[in-house]
Amino acid sequence: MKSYTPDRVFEIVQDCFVEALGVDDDEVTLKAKVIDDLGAESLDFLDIVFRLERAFDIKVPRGDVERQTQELLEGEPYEIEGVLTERALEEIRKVMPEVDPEALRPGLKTKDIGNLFIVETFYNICLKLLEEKGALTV
Amino acid sequence: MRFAFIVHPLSDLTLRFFAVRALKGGVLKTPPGQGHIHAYDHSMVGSITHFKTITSDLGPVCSGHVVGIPTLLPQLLADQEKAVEMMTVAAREHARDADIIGLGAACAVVGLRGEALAGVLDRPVTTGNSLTCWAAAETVNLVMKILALEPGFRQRILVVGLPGTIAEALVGVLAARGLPVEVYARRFPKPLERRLSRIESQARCKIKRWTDLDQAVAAKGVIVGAGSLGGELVDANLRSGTVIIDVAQPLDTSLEQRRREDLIVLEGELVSMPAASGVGWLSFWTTLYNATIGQGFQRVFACLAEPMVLCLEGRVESFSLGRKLDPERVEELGEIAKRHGFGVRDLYTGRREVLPDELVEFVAIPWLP
Repeated sequence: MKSYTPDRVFEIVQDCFVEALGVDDDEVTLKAKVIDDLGAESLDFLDIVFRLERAFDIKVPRGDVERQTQELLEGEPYEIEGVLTERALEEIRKVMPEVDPEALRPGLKTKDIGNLFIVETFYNICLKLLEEKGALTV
Repeated sequence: MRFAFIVHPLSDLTLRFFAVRALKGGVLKTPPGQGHIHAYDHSMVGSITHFKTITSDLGPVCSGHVVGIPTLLPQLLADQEKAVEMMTVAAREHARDADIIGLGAACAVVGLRGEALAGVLDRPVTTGNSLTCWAAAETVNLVMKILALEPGFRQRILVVGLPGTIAEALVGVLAARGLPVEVYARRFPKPLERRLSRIESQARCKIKRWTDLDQAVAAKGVIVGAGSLGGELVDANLRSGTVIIDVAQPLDTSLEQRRREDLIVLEGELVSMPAASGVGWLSFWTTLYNATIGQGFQRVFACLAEPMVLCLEGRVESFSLGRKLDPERVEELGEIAKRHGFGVRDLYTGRREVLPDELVEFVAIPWLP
């Protein structure tokens, strides 16, 4: 099985963003916001995920942030009328530690979670999935 | 030449229609949703309808058929590799004789917007985005022409749906045509700014940017919804007397908005077929298919018309593929389509024709602010 170092993972993630969005590679930093800085639209997320899945032979689960948060909430409400509950925001901070906590402020709508995604979010997902399948070399 | 057009069901109703066409008994008893019809069942892929004879105004003839895969939108998005696999089965086993493969709705979205499918087939694949964009621009042109002399109408076009592929290309096309175009986006990140600046310098114009949707839609004129996933105008406070052209699939406006009597929501993706095609291309199943998906007599969605046009022109190539959509190529294909007799000749709202006089009268009503 092919294995990857974290540096190599980042290079491939960077390539996927460059190819999907037509941006320069120096714009694709770990902290770059996918929508605000790189100008992605909703369909671009599909392209990025598809490229990552093919590049690493992994399957990126859809709605993983919500699923993991729901698990941590243990039955408490995740959202009320489309707005994330304060408890959900707390748990999302744990699920997405790379995201600026300031961005997770009360009133955040469920549909706007995608706005929080930074390149590191995708990098972390790849690291996790590669580690799970034993394809990560540290 | 022959084309095939791969589609997926947009609703439970169309899923059942597809299933009936694939001659799988018992499916009509299934509950709503994917039900017992497995989303990735190869045996459920099948031909839906045929377009027997499409005759260009210039003489050439082509034919083709629509192939359905039984995969609803959520399943297509959930596993893109499987979605591509289903489309590959559709192309290889049910469209062997097709010279070009067209993709409809989300089939044109998953798998890198056609690129993944094109990578495994030995035939060209086209998403239909170029002709869709052209049809939208032609609809805008027609509306502007009809309303040109109306004193109550403001010559201004607001495009909503950026940074979507079709919306961006549409801005480029309208700006190059010298039309007064403005854009709304939630934000204008650097890459989008770069692309808009390029359009401005090429068209030698200034495009007004809006980031507040309610302010953007408040000024009179034409609003074009061209979002990639629909729903872009659902939360907008649309004022009475607004004319909207909805290009998106799913639509950018809500059902409630489309039912409002103080708004006109026009179809932005329908094109008329060449007159010479007559009724020769119709069959029972084609008529039923057209009725099911919202196409009418002698009218087709532009994404379906794109492979037809390429066949009639004898130019079977992957014309629209991937994220990039070049306004110049959009116009190039539009010119070809026009030569063969395709065009936006009438306006429709839902399935009803909107006559020019009706549009003029609507705009002339002194709507309360």
